[in-house]
Amino acid sequence: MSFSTSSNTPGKAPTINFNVERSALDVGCSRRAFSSLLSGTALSSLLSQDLGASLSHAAPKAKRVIYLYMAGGPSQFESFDDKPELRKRNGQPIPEELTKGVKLAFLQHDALKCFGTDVGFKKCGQSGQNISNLLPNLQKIADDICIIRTQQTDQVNHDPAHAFMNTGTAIAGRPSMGSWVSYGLGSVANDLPSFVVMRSGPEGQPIPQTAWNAGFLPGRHTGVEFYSSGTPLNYLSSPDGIARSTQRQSLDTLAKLNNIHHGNVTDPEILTRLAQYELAFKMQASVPDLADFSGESKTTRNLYGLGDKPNGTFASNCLMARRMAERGVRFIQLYHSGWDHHGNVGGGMKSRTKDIDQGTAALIQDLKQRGLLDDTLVIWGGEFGRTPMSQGTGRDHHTKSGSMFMAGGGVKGGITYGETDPFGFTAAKDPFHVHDFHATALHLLGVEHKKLTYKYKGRNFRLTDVHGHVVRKILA
Amino acid sequence: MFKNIHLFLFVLSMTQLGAAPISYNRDVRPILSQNCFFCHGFDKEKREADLRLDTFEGATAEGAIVPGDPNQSELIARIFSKDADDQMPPSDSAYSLTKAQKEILVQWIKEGAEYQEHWAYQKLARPASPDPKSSAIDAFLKRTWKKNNVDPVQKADPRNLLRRLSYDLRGLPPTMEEVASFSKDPSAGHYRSFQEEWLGSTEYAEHQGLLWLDLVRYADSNGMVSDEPIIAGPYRKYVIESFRDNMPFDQFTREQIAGDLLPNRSDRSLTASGYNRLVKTNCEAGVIEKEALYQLKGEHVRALGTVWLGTTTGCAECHDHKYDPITAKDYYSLAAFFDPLIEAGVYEPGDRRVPLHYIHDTKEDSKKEHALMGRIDELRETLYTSTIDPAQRDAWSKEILKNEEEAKKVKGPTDWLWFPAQLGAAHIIQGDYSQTEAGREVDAPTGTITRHFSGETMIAPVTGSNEAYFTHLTIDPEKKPEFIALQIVNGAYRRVGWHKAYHLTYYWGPKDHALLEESQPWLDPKKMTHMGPLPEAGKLVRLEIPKAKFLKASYVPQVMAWMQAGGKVTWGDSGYRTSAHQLFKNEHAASAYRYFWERPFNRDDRNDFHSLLLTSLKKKPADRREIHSQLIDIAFREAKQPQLTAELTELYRQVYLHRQSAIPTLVSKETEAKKTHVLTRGNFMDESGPQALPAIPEVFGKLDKPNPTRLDLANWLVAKENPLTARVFVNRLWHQFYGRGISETLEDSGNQGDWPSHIELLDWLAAEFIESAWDVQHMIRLLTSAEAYQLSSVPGSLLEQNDPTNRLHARQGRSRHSAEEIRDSALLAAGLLHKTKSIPTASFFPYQPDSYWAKSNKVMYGSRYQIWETTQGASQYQRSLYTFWKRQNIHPSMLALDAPTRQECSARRTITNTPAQALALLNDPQFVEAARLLAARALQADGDPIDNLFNFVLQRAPDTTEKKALKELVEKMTTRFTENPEEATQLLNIGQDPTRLDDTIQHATWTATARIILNLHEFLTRS
Repeated sequence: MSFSTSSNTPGKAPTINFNVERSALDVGCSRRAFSSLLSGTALSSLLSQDLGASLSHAAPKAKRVIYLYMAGGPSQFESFDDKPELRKRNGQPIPEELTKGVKLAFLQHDALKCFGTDVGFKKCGQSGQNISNLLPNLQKIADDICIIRTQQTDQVNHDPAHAFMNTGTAIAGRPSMGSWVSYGLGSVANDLPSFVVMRSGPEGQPIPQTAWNAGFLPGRHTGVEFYSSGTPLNYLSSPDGIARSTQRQSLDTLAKLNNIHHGNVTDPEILTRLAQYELAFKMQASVPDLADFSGESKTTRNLYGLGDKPNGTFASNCLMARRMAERGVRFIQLYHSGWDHHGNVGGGMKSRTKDIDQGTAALIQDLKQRGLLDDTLVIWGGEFGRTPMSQGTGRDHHTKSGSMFMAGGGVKGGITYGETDPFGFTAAKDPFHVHDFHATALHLLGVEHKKLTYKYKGRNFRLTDVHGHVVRKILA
Repeated sequence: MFKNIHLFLFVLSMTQLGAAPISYNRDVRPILSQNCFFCHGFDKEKREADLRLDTFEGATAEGAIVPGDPNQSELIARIFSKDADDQMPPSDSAYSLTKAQKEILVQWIKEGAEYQEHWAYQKLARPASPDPKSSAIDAFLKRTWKKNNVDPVQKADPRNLLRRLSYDLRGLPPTMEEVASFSKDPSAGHYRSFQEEWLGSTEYAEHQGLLWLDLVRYADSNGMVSDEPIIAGPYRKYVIESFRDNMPFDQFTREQIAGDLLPNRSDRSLTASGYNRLVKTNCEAGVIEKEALYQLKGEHVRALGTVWLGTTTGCAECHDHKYDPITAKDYYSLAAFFDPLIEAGVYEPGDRRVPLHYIHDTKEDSKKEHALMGRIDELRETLYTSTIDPAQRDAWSKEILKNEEEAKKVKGPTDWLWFPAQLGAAHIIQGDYSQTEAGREVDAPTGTITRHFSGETMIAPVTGSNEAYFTHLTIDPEKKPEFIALQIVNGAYRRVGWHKAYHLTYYWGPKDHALLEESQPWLDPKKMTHMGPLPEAGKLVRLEIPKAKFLKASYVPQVMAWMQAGGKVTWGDSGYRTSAHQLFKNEHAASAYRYFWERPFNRDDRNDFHSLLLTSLKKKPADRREIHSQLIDIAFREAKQPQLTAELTELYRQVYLHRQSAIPTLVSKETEAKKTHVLTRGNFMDESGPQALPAIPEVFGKLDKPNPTRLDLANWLVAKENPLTARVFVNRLWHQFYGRGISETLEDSGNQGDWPSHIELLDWLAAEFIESAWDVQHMIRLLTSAEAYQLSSVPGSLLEQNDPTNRLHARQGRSRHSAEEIRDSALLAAGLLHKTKSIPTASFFPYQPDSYWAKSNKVMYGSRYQIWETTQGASQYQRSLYTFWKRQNIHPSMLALDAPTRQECSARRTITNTPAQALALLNDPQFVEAARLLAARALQADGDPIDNLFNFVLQRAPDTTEKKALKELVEKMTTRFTENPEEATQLLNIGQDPTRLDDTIQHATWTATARIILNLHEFLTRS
């Protein structure tokens, strides 16, 4: 069967005749061809631009990403960046030459004083990485993670910083990292979306839902949000009174009618639509299956501290993430909120780290024991770090330093990258800017960040804008 | 992902079809623009090797190009070089040239390397139509068909044609009667009569308005962080009315950009000027005011670019445009037009984005508002500009501070009247009551709780020092309520949010009452204290909540609500008992609120208003910021003129009450201009660059005026000499009616944009648009009258081969309908669609999965200030464009069907085809309910129900194979529901509409069948 299709690309993209075997459209066809078509968009847009995305520079180290996103800006001084100097000079002014010209949020008009933490740190594992005692489970897997202490961003407030961390720019409406990855690498899950988002954590501070939007990329690359308990997805369940068999019969009739229409007007979009309805039908079974933990061993459930179904916690989302990783989801992003500790950073960090410590460590161990860690890039971090200066009993947003870590997927474990000055205010060595983070993550996925582009409003856009360097020192 | 698909056939692109000489604009510019201009283009900052290739002079100066001699041209040597050091584009860049592209460049240089001005910037002149006897559209198209050896397809059959026309004009299908009548008489005259009937109808205006709303990113929320509601509904109404009344596009432009500056400004033009306020705004604590203000400038300039200029102006924020002649200076000069606009960088949460304009029902009410506001302006002028004797002021300052010390010494509590019986000009105030001399009279229906509330009047928030809350009331002995209650609301960010835990209720009456058991968003049965029996009726009573009874609260109390179950109650003064010192502080808080009334204000300073005067006075003069000194002067003036101050406060109250029944809307207003600097790389912290003054981009010349305003900008946009506006507009129209743009990039007519397929046609249409006095309906009539419009959308195999992207328009385009068209059509087929008599200003809330907003609340995002309360009754079935548009959580079905979030301006929707769409169309209760009503209609009408379904939905009869397939389904469903009658009942229970047929099995069977009809590709597609 031969399809012709048009270009969705602005400019003069060549016109393409696209031949594909009939079987590719039937259910049960080869998994790759099926999913590339079926997770897809209008055939036209599917072809024209995704063809541009043959971008692999080398064999990719990571095939998928699990991004544990700590929304609000977790404090590095209570987690991964121990600064004795701050304890020593607690309450004393921080040297002015450090802070001059740096944009601050809440502390815009205030006196800037050192703020030492009373949280203890421990050298852990064979690598001797220095990790806060608030993270006892992560301390145990210190040799598996690469800590980065010099996270830098351009944005000092949540909304634009989330946008920047996710899309590489503070202007809303650009594609997020997960969307770029989905666009660049396509989907290998045959009955799940390629980019899934889940959320947990205390209520309160909003972050923009546009953080997982596909922006100008085709809409199917938008992150699909699965709820962390209850029905996982909007409109997933058939209406009350429509049994699974009723749904099947209905869709069979729909397919018949659509095929008759196709006979009259020969429109390839009809075939795509038929396939999308089939995929939807499969998702009605596969997504609930994803959220059924009863098949997990007791040992595994204990590792995460969970029962036989999702309970809305971060650990529960972590187990969901592992199950999605096994089923081929490309990019899984787990947001956990509540890290914005302008006051009582000690108490706040104690609660939040308790929320995420076990789940995070369990996820990495679980992936490792299943052999999945090697090709899964795990990322942990927030939209920015926090100030070494006090804001009352808390810390303000900070662009110049912050800690995150990565594991698996071609990242060297048991190392710390980047070094901050004795006050932890900014990078003394090896800054790790958001653009560098994006470039490096894409590199691990086998994608050259300068080549992953999409033409929109006359410009070739990239996740890294016009910046970004691959940080080779952290590559395994 | 395409590795296993190995066979690609590249058909010659249109460029190569004609054997004409190389054209710079058509053939060369795209290659250079895509691959070279980034480093060798317009942006001098980024220019490498001091070489520019975007002008003839630049390219030939040092021999990069030697016209006529490719062999001597360095450019040619470089692009063919194998040496990695010499090669261009550089081997490590993202760019590379194909063999064909290189050959084009060689040929072009051989032919003399002639440069042309970019098509979109060329002066607009109307080209002659190739055939004056036929429609110009057809004449231009026919010429290219001939040139490319392409035959057009047949004319569409009458049914398809009428459906197309109806959808394109109104976003809805025709009725089956209309199709039948047109099928019988498909004459041009009959076609015209449909055109004329539909053009200018409300449905037409709604559909055309929808596309404009995408373009200007209209929404009901501010778009950032907590994404709070804003008031823009009247602007939407304005847009729809303008299309209905066929307002000339130049006027439409002027009113939106500068409706507040027009000499004959009116409610309408002021509402239109709300356009400038549709920007995204932030209210996040910690945002830097200046940075946010520069971001707002970006919003204004980018919108101008997308909506009118078809130019990506946003690119020039950090540097000169790489591809188009827009400099960074141009960007900031355009931004400077918006400098006098009143807008805040960082709004206070809960602020409805003042300034607002109030639209009254009657002329008298408008006049009264005008009179009150005139008096307020006068008073303010007298009060706040009176001369100040510094010595007197300083003495007064000392006096205040001394009085504060005295107040600290006073022992014992005293009353602070927080909310007087006659509520003042509060920040938020809601509920129904009649204002009488004695207080607020509420005559409440029994069986429900009636409640009104108020928050943040011009005084301090309640601090920890209050010792009791109190209120006064008089109960009518003839009509006693069942209970009464006082609520203290701990408003997060001073707004009554959805969060019921913040509502603390204290009530008087029987200890248990069913109404108090009901959980409401504003009533938590767990946060409730019984205070005693209902107080004595017939006299003024004072009720108190002593500190000992206070419920535990997080956040500061910001709002008080008065509740009663039935009865008639007159509510009097309310407040709290506090120390004399606190009272003193409260009394001195009002100046700031009074002076900055209706002015948006940076959140940080606004938060401090309640203590700002006293803290300002305590600062050493040298340490005071501008606002501190300003406020001291304001307070001093007020202290010297207490009568005027009291009168002003009273006027605020009056105007506030007068506005209770008026409709507020966002509006543009001006004040003294802020300053815009040309920033270096967009960095707001570096304002060392020169100040930018309002000016149009230099490439378009200069405005002939010393201090041009937004109105001058608007006039320039629609001036005859502006080469872009008309082209950009007709190109969008073409896309709308022919399935793709003449230039596909509707939002970018610049160097990187798509080269127009029919440049002369585009120019002809643009010229026609201007000469018709910007008559939108005239253009739409023209576009839909052409023969080409009426062609079938089914390509023949030859056409499909030769022109698969339909650049030649030898057939019509086909694509999926928009989210709105699909829902509206389903409701129409079901007989549910609620057509609007008068265009609503309020948005409605259709069915939405509970978890969608609720979970966003619970976890962390989104809807802090709003709960999704599904609209009841007929309003639930309004056309989709009236859906509450929350930028961060647009309705999930609409999101699935590619509706834009409207965070940024969008000129076209990307149409995708995804499983999420299938799930929404199959399972969204809105479509299931529509299927139920459609089934009932089909069963109740005369004739075969299958025929009826097809007629209602597709306006045609089914053929025998279709009928057979559906009959089989009906049989299967009948069996299923007969065996499982509870499933039939469940299915019929979905949706608010009560229509249910007696025969449940039959109704369910046909509901399931109708549901399939509403998922047919044919139903979802414009053909």
